[in-house]
Amino acid sequence: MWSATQRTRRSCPGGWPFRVALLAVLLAPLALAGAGLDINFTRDIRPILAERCLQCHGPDEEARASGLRLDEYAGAAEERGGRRAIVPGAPAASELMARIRTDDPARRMPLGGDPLSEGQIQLLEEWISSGAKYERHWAYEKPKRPQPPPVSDAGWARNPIDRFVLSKLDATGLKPSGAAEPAVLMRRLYLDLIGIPPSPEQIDDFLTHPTDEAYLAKVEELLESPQYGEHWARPWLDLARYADSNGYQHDDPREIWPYRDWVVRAFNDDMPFDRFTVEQLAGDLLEAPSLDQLVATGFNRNSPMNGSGGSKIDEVRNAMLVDRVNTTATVWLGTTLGCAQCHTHKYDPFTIEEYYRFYAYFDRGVDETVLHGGGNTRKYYVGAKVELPVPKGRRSRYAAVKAQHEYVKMLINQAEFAAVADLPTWVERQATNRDLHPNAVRALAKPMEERTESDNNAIRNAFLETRPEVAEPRKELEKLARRMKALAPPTTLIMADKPGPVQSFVLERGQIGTHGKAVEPGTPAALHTLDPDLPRSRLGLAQWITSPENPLTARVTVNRIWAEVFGRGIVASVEDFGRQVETPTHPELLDWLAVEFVDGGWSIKNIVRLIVTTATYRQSSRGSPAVLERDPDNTLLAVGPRFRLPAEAIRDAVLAASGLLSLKMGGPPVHPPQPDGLWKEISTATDPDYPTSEGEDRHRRGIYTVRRRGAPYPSFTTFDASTRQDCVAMRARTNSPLQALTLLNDPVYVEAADALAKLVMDRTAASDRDRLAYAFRRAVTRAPSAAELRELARLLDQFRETSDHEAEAWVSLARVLLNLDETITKG
Amino acid sequence: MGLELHRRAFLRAGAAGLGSIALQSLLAADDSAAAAPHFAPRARHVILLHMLGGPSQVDLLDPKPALAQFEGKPMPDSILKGKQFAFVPNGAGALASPYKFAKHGESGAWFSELTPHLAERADDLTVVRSMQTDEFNHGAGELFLHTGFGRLGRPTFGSWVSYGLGSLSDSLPTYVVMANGPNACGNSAWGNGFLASVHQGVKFRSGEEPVHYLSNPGGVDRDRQGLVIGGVSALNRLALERYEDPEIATRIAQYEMAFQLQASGPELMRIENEPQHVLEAYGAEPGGASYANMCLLARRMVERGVRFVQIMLRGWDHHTGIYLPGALPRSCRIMDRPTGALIDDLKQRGLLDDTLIIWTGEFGRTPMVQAISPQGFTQDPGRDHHKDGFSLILAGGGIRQGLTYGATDDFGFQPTENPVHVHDLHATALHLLGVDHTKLTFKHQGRDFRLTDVHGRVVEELLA
Repeated sequence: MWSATQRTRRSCPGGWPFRVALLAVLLAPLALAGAGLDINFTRDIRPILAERCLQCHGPDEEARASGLRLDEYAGAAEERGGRRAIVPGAPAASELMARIRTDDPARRMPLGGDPLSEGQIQLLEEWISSGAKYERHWAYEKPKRPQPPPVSDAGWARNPIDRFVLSKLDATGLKPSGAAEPAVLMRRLYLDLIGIPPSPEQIDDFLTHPTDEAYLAKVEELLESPQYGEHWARPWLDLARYADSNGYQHDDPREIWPYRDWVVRAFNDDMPFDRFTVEQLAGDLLEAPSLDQLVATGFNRNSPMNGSGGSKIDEVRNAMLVDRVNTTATVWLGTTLGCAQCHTHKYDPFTIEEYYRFYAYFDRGVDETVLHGGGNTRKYYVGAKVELPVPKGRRSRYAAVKAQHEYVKMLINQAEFAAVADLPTWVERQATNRDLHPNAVRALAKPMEERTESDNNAIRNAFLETRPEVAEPRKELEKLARRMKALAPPTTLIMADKPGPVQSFVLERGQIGTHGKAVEPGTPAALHTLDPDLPRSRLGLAQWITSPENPLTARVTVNRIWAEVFGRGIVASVEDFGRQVETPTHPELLDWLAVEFVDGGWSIKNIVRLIVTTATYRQSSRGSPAVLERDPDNTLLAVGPRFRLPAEAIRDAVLAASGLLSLKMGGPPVHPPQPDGLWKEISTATDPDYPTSEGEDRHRRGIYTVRRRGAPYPSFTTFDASTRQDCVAMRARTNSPLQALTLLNDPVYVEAADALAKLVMDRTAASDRDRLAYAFRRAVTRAPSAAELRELARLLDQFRETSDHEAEAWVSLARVLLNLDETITKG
Repeated sequence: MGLELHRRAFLRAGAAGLGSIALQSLLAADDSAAAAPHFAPRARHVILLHMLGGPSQVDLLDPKPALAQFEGKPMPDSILKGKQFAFVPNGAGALASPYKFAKHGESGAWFSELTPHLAERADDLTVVRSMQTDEFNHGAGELFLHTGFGRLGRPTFGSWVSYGLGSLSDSLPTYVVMANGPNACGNSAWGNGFLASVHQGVKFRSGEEPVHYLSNPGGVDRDRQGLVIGGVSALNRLALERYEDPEIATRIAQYEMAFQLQASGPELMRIENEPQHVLEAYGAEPGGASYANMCLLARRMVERGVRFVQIMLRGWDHHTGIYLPGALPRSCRIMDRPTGALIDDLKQRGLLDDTLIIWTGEFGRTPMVQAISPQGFTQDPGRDHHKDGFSLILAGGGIRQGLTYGATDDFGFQPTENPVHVHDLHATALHLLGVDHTKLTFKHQGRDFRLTDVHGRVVEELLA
């Protein structure tokens, strides 16, 4: 009953599950080989080598069998014992061909695996015949701006993006779809730019005059909306694994929401992506960093932290550093560097030593965990943080409470000082008193000379608790401390490095405590050169990442933007641009966008604007039968994007449709109602009580909902939100009965249905028909068709017949509307 | 919609991976497509009984009389060298088990007096005494047991099974989780990791609303809910004609399923409908989240087509309370009878052959004594976490009966023969389900991931 569709999935090597896509792969080579066409190494050969050969004959020296390396020409063509794996131009003389063809299982490659398919064998033969040319992996070459190609219908293309798309459609004989109807297009645009569907009133003007100028003006209006930053921050916060708690056993809360607000502001300000990068990776290392630049470094303080009593501090620290290395590599390099943590990468050119050179950039960080102390080995997440400015009134109240707190503390000190004179006589009388704190009982049981300092403190404390002149003000002090905590200026976690030099080492097989070779900070040799003048710090790393020579960052970033809008990347694996991945659907377009991104001053808004103003984007999402047949995944973009909204946008959309959505921005996370007791299900949580928000905070945008890693907001999880336990570049998109139950029965959605019903009934002058059409438009933006209107009227009749009063009937109707597929979908 | 649409839905789902098999079966109403094993399965269901905290093998399943010689004396250096423990200091002495062991059944398997009901069924069970895991803390240990990896982010065993084999029921989830309280790694113990969220375990709570949002909103009865869902489907059908997007067809079907689940979920939970003798056999009492109730529910779930049931019972982290009347004997009493009743009940209904039962902790416990609490207080003796050698119990679906497999040294510390790693447990369990653990893969971050990572061997000796 539970079904899934996911766009980032590919079929598994080994042929299971057996899929249509795989069939296509198998058939294509046969056709190619038969026709004697040119073989393209990247498209045809590298995938075979990567999937079937490189595990044992790749860059990893330790795993390499018989010393043979097939990922580069030199190794493959080298003479070894009188034979060569590949003899260019002579497949018959190439040992590789003999070994993949033989029937002898002891000799046939891949050893112990299924043989290569006949199609694959023919491809390799053809390739060797034609000279066995290797190409450097395209993603490691710096992109150059390609000329937009000639197309069949130049009038259709609104900007160069369309030319790349149409040229590919031309080649396959498909035609673009017609333009989307104006209301559907508006819904799409609002959802893509600000993540909230428009109200009928917001788009009425456009629908009356749906001109090109009016469309472009809408684009500008929405790009300037403050809600734009909130919408585009969401996928970035998935990458940054931003959450409001530590994760793991105790899952203690952490205060780092100012980082989330920084991201929203950065998107709204269209901060150039290179600066956006440097400030997050190394804002603290800039000269005289501003408060904002420090807040930005929260990016890497978002790592989960295992604070359980049994965990070892060095392990906890290593896990966080590994998380930072892997996240940085995924986010900016689209690289699975994490594979090299324990061994040299099996497919991509990264060695374990390079992994720990990258790791060394983060190894300099100050300590971030402290022990609870007193023999308790539970850990807390500390490290560097900064305080945020607060309004004057709050600051002075805070100062007053703080002064009072200090005064009471002083009184206590004086009282304690006076009281301890009686301590020795008290101690003599307590040897058998079992009612004291267990620590004190244990300490008193020891002979005096064996008592440690903490023993003596325990005894002293137990004694002081018996004295009212100390115990009473202590209670007062606790109250003041709680008030102080509530008034204290917010803080946020930031990065900081130790002052002195730190020596890093390779950790053999990724195990801590196995200090291998000493390493200095550095970047993988297979990527662009590291300028030796750059500082050997995170700042140098950030500058290397944002160097114009970097072949990956711009590509990876524009590809993610593309995937947000079209539901699928030009490179399908948005998190991985390695050698093993599928070929991009539109490689030239990817490069064009990447160069445009950098040339346009790393402006994200520029790229978003370019995309949403294309004819490609403005197509109807309804494809012709030919399109659905030929390209069910819409990889060729013959139709406009249509897919389910992300979790947060579903909640935002429904609240907006019902008029409940609050647009208040920023601040500490909010706690909308959720089922009772979820936080109590976190083991040994320090704060098991969920402080349900009141008033407006119940209806804030989803981005502000608290992110507790151990007990995430359930309806978000049901709609595939990341639990923020690690970096997520693209969420799955599933379709399940639990989602239906959430929209049908979650009190938030019931409340929304009530509000929508009220909104509609308040239109007292309108006819039923108009009310139904208005309610429909609030939910799905477009007007209902005649058939839909008939169905709505029928439903209303039915609900009226079975309801005690009019409001009940309209609430049921509103529930229907808020549950429609189209209500939670971008059209 | 018609055949044409099904075909298109199939095409569109083509690249979506194995999980879409469920989609195809859903749309084609063809249940046989859901099962795509690599070879004939010996089991169709799994019941994983996770004793949270790590039960003490030397007090339950692996008698070690030699420990008595080291009480109050440091354990031999050869044993402890280079080992890390959460709370036991270096130089700790042993803690001999205060409980009597005896051989049971025709197989002569050893059980301590703490679990008479399990002992009685010795010939139905297989005990593995040489289990090993990589992690010695609860959070990481639980993650390792369920995902084969000690850190967050990987799919659980149950999720892999859901992904690989799909559903057996059209009105209940594939993978259900029950617990009597929190566990250390939270919902990651049934998380889908990088698999689609439909493969996540669905946590069933006790009572009439086992799943979040299963009950209708206040004032809405089943007829009204039916009308609303009918209206949603009617309009969704019109949208399907308009957009021809197969996702809409799936959504229509999912609303129907949700409506079914609203009826079948509460029905499933009504154990009061069981005959009195069954309730008594388990010691189950309607209401509440007792282990007995969860075991009875597990049988009801398996009977109704739930593929993977995971029960998590708190109360096995015995840093203290090994001796009577401490926490260990108390936990055993809670666990013993219902577990035995579950085995009998499945057997009587002919379901045991189809159902693999795994009883285990995330690790075991040290043979050494822990006399200081994590907070630093002296306390009644207990045992610390131990990852290198512990015991578990297997029964049912394709498991050899009455076997005691593997052995540890004189102290119950390290395996001396046939070590079985958690990866091997996963490989073996998948094998029984008809799945080759090396072929059940999912590509994520550029790499093919497996439940067993790059490890795992099917332990042939455990197979019937």
